[in-house]
Amino acid sequence: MAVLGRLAGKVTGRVVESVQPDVILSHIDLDALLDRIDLNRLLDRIDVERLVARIDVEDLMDRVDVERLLERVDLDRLVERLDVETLVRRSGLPEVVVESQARLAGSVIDLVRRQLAGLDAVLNRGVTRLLRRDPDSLPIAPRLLEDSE
Amino acid sequence: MSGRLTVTGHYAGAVSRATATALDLLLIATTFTIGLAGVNLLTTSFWGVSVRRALPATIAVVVLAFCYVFGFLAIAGRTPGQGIVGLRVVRSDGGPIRAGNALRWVVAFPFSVVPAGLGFVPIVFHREHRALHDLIAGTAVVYDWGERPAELPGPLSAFLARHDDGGSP
Repeated sequence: MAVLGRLAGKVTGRVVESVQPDVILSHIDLDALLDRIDLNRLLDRIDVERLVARIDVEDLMDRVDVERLLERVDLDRLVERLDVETLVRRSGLPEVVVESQARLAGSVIDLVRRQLAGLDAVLNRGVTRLLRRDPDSLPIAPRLLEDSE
Repeated sequence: MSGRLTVTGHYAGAVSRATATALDLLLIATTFTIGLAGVNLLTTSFWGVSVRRALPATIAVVVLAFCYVFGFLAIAGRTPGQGIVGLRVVRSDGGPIRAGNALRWVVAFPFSVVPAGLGFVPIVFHREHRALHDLIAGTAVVYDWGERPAELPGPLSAFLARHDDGGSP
């Protein structure tokens, strides 16, 4: 039996050496083979954490040709897919515009108010002089508001 | 920091008060005109009755003016015109006005108007710039620009500061 085993081993070795791999591959139905593989089971056996840990990100990034990548990006199509309205709303830009408009309107109103208060001051100064009043003796505000100045 | 004199809480002068009154009259007239046109359109369309007659229109505008001034004064302490110009009606001691003050202010207002507007003259000459209806209602009108300080123009502030009269209008 031992002799037969050795003989079979030698013959098998010779047969394998003499057979062309291409010939064998041409006889294999790859589709059928792949159908028999359970990919989920295979993936379950992969330790993703370990795989990621082994990846040198810096090296990977160095190998990426960003210029070439950008050339391949269809910007027009990308922009078409963007929801600009949502993007603008999320950026807070409308609130900034409303706030600045309100501030501008407030500034314009204050400018007019200042001119009116100025005219009041000029008129009051004239009346005070005309009536020969002592400006320091005149009350400028009601008692409670004078205290809060 | 701006070099402007602050006048928040100071007695408001005649120019500001006249502007506020003019704005209020404009608002009342505009509201009444639009309202009357709308009501007239409805009554004419549905019942063939026109409400554009002198007496009902006069009564309506007086009621509208009363409600407008009393309502805003009692609730906000200022009419929309006064709000735009930056004025506020307060009690004579500076406290916020009550509904009673607002009612007396509105009822007494015609007394300032009827004698050829003589009731407004004290705004110019009175030491506290109070009109006749202010004196009757126990109120005064002061500058109040809300959160922002009421100010005089920069050049005028500089002039008044040089002449050291406190900048009170």
